[in-house]
Amino acid sequence: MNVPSYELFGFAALAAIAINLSKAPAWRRAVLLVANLAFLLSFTRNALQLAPFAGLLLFGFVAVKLMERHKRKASFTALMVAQILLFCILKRYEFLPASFFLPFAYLTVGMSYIFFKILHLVIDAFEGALPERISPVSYVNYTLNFTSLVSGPIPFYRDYRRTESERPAPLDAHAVARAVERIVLGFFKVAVISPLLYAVFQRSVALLPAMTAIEQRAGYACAILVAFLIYVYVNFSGYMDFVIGVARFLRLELPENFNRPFVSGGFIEFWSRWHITLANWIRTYVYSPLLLSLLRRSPSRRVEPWLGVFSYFVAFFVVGIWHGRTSTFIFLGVLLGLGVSLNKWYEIAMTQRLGRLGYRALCTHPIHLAFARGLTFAWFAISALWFWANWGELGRLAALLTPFGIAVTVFALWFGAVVALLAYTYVVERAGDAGTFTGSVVKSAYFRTAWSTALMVITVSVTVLLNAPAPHLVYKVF
Amino acid sequence: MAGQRTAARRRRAALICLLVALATAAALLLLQNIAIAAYFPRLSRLTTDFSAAYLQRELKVMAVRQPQAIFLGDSVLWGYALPPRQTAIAILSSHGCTCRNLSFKSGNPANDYFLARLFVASGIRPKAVVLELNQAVFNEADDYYRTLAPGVASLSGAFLTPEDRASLTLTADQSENRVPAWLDRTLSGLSLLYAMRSDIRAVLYGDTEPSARPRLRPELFEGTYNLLPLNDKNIGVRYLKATADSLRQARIPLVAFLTPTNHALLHDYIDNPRYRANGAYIAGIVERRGGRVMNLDAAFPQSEFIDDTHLTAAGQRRLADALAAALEPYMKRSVGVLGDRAPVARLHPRARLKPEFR
Repeated sequence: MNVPSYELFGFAALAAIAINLSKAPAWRRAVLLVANLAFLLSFTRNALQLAPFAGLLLFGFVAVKLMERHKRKASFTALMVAQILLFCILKRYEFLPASFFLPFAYLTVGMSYIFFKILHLVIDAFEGALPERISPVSYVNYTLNFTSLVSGPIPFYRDYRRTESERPAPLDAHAVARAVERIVLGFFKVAVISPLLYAVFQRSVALLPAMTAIEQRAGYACAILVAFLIYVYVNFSGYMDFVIGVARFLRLELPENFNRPFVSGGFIEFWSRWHITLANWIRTYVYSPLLLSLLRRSPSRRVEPWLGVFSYFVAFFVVGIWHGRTSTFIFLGVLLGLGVSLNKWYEIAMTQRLGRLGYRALCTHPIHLAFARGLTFAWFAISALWFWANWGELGRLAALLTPFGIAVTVFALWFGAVVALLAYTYVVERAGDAGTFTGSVVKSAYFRTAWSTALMVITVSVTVLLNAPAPHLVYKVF
Repeated sequence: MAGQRTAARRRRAALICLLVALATAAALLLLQNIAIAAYFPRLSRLTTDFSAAYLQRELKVMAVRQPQAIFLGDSVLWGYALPPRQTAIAILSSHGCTCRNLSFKSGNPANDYFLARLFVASGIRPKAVVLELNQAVFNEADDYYRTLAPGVASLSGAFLTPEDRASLTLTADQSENRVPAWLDRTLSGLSLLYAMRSDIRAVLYGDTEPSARPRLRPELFEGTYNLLPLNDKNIGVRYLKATADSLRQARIPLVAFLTPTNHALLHDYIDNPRYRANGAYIAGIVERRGGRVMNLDAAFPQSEFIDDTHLTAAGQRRLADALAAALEPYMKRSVGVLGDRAPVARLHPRARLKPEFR
């Protein structure tokens, strides 16, 4: 079943009707279990193709149960290593010998997200941080939850369990409207805006070599960088809107994964607005433990701030290499790690020079903020090159641009982003200001109803005309 | 009391929201319909998957602006692998003929018959109907032989007899077969964008495939022609007779032509007495019903073919020349000599002869 699609919407509607027939938690868990398994089986019913997937899940469950009973560090370490190795083998990471891989095709959809959930459960079970002993049904419902199976988000178990087990709030007209609004917005983003941006991206990639003047090539390079980044954002955040809306019908509250990331005034803030649940996971299970462990071994207090820089680099380097199995993703990890760690280094240096309050004042200064936003956008847009292109394509692009063209592209991208984000924040803040007439109209239920209906009609019209299968999801491959 | 009032207020707000949603959707659908009706262009040829809505619109326009000639046929006349402006009929139109091209890629005698019935029933009386006679579409082994195009099938309901329904394949829209028929009808009634989606797509994304196979080999066309003797058992023959009869009844002159065929390529398959006999048979059907037949079967050199029957731009220009000559007696005003505008090679002399194999 493609995500998002009319088929999934129909499937979710059936599950929502069934789940709302009773408020008993046991009934809700049972319906969810059936829906989750049915969704998984919609990808394949071939037992052989499901076997590795089931193996990963079973191994994870055994590990959680072992950690719940025997909190031994040696077994914990061994289980973590085995779990990571099993994941790398199943995902066919290129650094492993090919003989390690299974010699047949199998289901891998959402495997990375399940892996994160399993590691989270194993670690929390070892640390005694799980709210209760996990039952097989809760384990399957949490790891295979069909609303977050394909591309996340990655909720923490305690948050998921709370929404699953508590008596849900009534599904009244307001709740339905909120859910429908998110679904429609998500569909619109994925089915209308995202193909459009992808077409712009592909066209720019195709046309760039035909350009003769260096400034034209730089212009097309900027278009490639901007279109691809916004495409990824619209595609991924649209999917999130869709599944968050669908989950609301099932009385589940999925965590938000995006919060206007391009208004971030720095890379550290960016990762609290972009793929939030992944960044939270990385902060909780990579950054914090690493930093704590380094601080314990730290020889002097003077180096302590710099340990944060190093820990940030490692944590977001991991984010980069998680995205793919080739050397381009190692470099993506370096760029993401550098972005965050340089941001941390700048923060430390400026705090030492200006003091905490002085640095805070600097960060909120409109000019500083505008340039910081532009730089964050430009850095991430350039990093995203390693997300879609291989080394050969990158080499050809660099050769076409020449060093001067690359410099022009980078500065044009930065200053363009500064201006565009200034205009964007001005418009959004004005439109959303409840004190103004526009703000009150925009926030009124009737305007939002009309707006969502218009988006729905446009989305249906465009999907009818495109006559394409449900749109490709960028993050589905992970 | 206060709780009841709040609940009532919420119910009212929810109802208003529902009405706002319905009104917005209705307004947008209406706007879409108005915009499509006003701005969707009249195409010079039908699209590959033309819709019933577009065909109906075309018939209505033709009923008002009566065309001089209507062309019925398959991909040869449609102009396979060529842009619309390079087709023979577009060339005739550019020389003053008010021609309408109702041929389409998977045309066959059954479709020709129902299209003829449809335009006659719509009050359209052209000065002549030009009918392409392609032996390939009389081949019973080909699925298209008995398939009625969805756009034609859904408008021809009133003409379809039980025998027609039994002998023909009335396809649902191939690209959208996931939608149940009742829903398809309802949506088509509500939204022109939905009803004409295939035509709009063709206009937006183009409707011309990249030209031809890189290396033509005769084997690629093995089985294109079934050389068993044609007779009344053949569905194509029955519908060809019915087309000629209904046009004769409506007093509309019929001009037919045997499809230009690449004999150099297909020599092993068609240069034999059975092929010639079948050609003579279908030509005879038209002639016995008062129609005129041009034999263009072997009239074009190999260089003017893209493949077995589909013509290059030069071939289409020569076809236009032949059609112009054939139509001349029926037109008040001559469609002109095409050679005055573009260098058109002279038609092979045999093209103006009666079928030589009679």
